[in-house]
Amino acid sequence: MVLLEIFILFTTTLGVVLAGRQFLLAWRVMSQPEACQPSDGRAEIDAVSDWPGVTILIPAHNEECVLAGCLSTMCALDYPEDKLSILVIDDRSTDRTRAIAEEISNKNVGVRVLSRAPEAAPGKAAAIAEGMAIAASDILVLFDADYLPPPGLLKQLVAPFADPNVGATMGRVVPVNTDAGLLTKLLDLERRAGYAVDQNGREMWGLNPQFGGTVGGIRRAALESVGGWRVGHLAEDTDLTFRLVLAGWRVRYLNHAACYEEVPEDWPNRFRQVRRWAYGHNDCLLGYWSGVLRSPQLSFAQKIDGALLLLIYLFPVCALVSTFAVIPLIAFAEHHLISWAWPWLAPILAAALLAPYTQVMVAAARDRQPHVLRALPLLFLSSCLSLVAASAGVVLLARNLIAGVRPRWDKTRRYRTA
Amino acid sequence: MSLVELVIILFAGAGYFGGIATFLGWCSGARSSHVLPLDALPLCRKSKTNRRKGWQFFWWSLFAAGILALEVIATSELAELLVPEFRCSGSFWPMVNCIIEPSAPSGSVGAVIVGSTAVLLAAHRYIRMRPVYPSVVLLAGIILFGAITDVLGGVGHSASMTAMMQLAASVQFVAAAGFLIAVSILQPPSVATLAWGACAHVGCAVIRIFGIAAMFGLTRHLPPASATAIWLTLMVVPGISTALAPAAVLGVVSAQRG
Repeated sequence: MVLLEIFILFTTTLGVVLAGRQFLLAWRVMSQPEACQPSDGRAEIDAVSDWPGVTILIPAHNEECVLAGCLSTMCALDYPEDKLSILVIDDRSTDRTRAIAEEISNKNVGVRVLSRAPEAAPGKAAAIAEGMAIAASDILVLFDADYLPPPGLLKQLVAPFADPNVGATMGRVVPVNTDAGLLTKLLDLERRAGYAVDQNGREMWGLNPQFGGTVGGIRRAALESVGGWRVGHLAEDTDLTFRLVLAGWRVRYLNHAACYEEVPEDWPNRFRQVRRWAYGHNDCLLGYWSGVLRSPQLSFAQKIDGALLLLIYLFPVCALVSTFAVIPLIAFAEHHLISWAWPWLAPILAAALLAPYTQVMVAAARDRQPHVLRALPLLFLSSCLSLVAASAGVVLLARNLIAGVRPRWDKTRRYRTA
Repeated sequence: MSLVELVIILFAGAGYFGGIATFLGWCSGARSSHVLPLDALPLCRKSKTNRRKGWQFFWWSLFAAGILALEVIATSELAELLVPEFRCSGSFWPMVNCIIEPSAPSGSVGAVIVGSTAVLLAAHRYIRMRPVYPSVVLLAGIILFGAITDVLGGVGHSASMTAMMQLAASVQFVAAAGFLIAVSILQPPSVATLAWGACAHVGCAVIRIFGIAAMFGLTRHLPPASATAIWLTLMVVPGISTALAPAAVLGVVSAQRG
């Protein structure tokens, strides 16, 4: 019983600390005087006289519905033609993905297609690693096959590489299908908070934003210096982020470099997506938590932020267990730690619950789109789903670690029609 | 349970759940389509900001504190009216300390089990019909867990009214904090817009007070774990949700008024 109480108090403390971090980041973004901070990237773009060679890697596994639209926007990107190459990695597709890619490749000399063998290792990381082997450029830019970049995006993502310390850049992801249903509206709110406040705040404070594995550029030398992609990892982007920052590379987040993506329109698909993220993220927690805290490359603030970032997908399972555990404790035990702390814990916890909502409010205000807040009171539905899905991810990770089983890649379903 | 008490609980419960449903129904009508196209996304538009001077934060804080105090006083007064044996020695969180004459509600354990199972079965049916099943299952699961805990514990004493009252005060506290945060961030461009947010907050506060009254009436007849679980799911979660009402209303009104 005492252990249970200690666990609940640990969860409460962790929740309050994570909420405090969210409040601080929201305050940092809110306190910036201009609407779009720190700039729209124009100065960085104008400073580049000789653009580096870039290869865009687009891993595609059964993406016949979205690939053509994606490639048509890729071909319209504003970048010197002789410096740009687009590589579609057909990842063991069983639909028309390869045919569509080859058809577009035949019409555009800058588009190439790599077809992976059916027996090749599954997963996005494996596909990218194979594509990288035949890409000759110094800078690699990654997009998922459902993404629709605006023409100016590529230069925005590549310009920061003029700084030799920058190992990776990350743009902002904006849902394209926000009006498809309740879930997509809620995910739009979550994305706004995650990018326009959380990532943006970390960039402003000189912390380490996260490389998201899509709408992002990476320097080949940086990637090779940390051992390349980890094939078979479910959060290869988070894994790469921590390997880069621990090796002394800088990751830049560019809030102005916005790109559309499709978000899940059905709840089971979203469940699997969050479960996969939680699995991979907690795998990173096991691998990098102590390394982050002991790293000589990182400042004190970067260490704390990095350590808290790694704990984000562990918190849901702690919260879920604590919620269930607190019921009998409050109800039965007359004299215990929780009943003593409850009058203070309850309002602090409740106030901490406001932290993610505060980030959403700040994001909507900064985007000058406050009307989207109408759906904010329903966000608890999505939070409940994430609570359960992230917990399922942790359980799955624990089971696979004990059994020595490798994780299975769940592909996110697409909704756009060809 | 007397007939009068039953009527009050039903009336308050109808006001609470009806109000919550109406509010959340309005929220689900949100539209985001004019985010498109990307080039028109005003992410980097530099327009004048509606910054308020520092002293206005003082007034907002004062307003929120006043609302909070009124809400907590109204809540405890209503609870004492509804439950004659109920006495609160303080009227403000966290000094609030409420007592109630012990009752013997163990006879209602069976009803709680049956009710919770029915909720879970309904949620299971809901799974196939609606997309929000993980939330429904989670909340129903918490209620069922409370009931099972009571059965396993063989409990015969009633729920702790002090803990319930502190939960209620916490929900009201969060609502006041939510109102203050929403106003501070969204910075309503006019007094009329601010008034809309205030109306939303006060409206939702009334709905929550209905809910608190109904929950007090209901949970005093329940064993402790079931009562705590019901409070968590039926009061706290919608309570947090309605705490965001000013943000939702201010957002919509601000957008409409440019």
